[in-house]
Amino acid sequence: MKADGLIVVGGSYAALNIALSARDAGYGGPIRILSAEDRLPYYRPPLSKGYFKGEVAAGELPIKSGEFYRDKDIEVALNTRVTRIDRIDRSVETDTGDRIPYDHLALALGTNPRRLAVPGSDAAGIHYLKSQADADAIRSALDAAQSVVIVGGGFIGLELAASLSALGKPVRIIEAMDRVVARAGTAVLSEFLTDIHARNGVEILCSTTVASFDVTGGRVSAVVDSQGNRHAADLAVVGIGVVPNDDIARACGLVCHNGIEVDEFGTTSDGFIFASGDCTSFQSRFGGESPIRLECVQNATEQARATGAAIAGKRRAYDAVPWFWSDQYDSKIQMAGLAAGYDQAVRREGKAAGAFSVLYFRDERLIAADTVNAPAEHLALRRLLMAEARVSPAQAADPGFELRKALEGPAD
Amino acid sequence: MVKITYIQSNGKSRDVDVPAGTSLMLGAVQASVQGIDADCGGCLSCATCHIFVEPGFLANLPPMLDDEDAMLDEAHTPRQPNSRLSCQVEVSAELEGLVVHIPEAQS
Repeated sequence: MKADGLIVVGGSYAALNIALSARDAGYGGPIRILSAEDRLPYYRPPLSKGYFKGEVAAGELPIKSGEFYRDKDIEVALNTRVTRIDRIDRSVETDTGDRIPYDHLALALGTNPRRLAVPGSDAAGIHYLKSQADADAIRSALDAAQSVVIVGGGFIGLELAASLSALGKPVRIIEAMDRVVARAGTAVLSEFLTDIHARNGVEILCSTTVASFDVTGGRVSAVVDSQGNRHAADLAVVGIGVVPNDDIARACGLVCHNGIEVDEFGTTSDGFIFASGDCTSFQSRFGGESPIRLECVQNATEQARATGAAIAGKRRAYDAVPWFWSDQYDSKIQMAGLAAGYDQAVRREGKAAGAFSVLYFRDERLIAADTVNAPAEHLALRRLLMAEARVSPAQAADPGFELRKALEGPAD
Repeated sequence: MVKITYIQSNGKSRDVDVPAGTSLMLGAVQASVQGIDADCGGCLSCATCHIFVEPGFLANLPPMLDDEDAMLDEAHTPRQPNSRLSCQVEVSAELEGLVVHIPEAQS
């Protein structure tokens, strides 16, 4: 399998955007995506929301059509798993033994769901959610399911719970930490989310882990928690976080700590190898002293764009405000910036009923914001964060103060 | 199927048959029409699916809700009276022959 040029390893947002961005920035050589997936890159957020509920059709999931890749002269090889990187030879090896040479290599390996390893956890009826096939499997199993338990109160678990609730299935969430979205959300957000789930009849048990699953006839029949309580479940979905898929990077000696370390141009510790998306860790002015790893469409897309351009010689530093969204019931929740380390949270009422924002400050500086049902406010806040504009907690709390004004000059 | 004409900023024009019920955004993306980024996949979080609707068709479009209106203020290319976020416009038979213009940049 001849190649050279740019080889992109991966099958989702980052892979697509590295390839596309490199081509658009004038990369002259061949560009080939090696994807272990069985289908072209597709939108992931709908898998726990619109697609799961049947509002988004399968045909609407691919991010770009096959024709698009051909038009851009980007080759895509599906069902192709890269097992080894040879940095001296500058080639990759696939699971079918093919050796594919590269001039430039880009790793967009993403993450894999963390597996729960307790007695019974390999029984039928216990699912994870990463792919469209996973979503289809859960959805198929749902019709016959009497009671569903979701292990993990992160965004995957909460969104699925909201979707299951909309589909009329009773569901209970078991969460190990003392609040939901403990990794990526603030306590303020946790409280809001727990409330909307409670209003919709979804029970959330925090500070509770899964000790084992009861298995009857090969299928899960109950979840046994750390308190010894049994929760009847003939369908369980586990969403307990993800692990960066950096095995082949580590194996070839690339520097990896919580993902593949890259600089602001997406370059790894090897100048011919780049990486982007959920599998990378990097310094960000929005993340403080330590490198961060983000699990979101925004980063996978924007970081990949900068990386693709860099590969084509058009270097521009990746410097973007992390942002994220989650739709649960009637609430469109959006997050901008990284709130870790905040010392003050200010609630800001929105214009419409049920719309509000929470602005997070550290040492009187705005570092992050959550908005509910206020997408324009979210966008304005992203701009403020990007510009490191000064806004005071008092201004934040005052709905009469137009956020845009903070872009114009210093706070009083 | 409803015929929609997408015109890029470089003048290149594409006629696309978009199924009724599909958004203008998806109609473009699925037909590989360039220039509509739709970073957030159509959930009103990015304003990168901005289009200009040729006057004369504006009144036929489903009404713009407050959130779309507010988001358009944040679009990269300044909004015009005929601006819409294409992910919010569902195609229907009333839009047969609609012509939309795509701005040069979405971000």
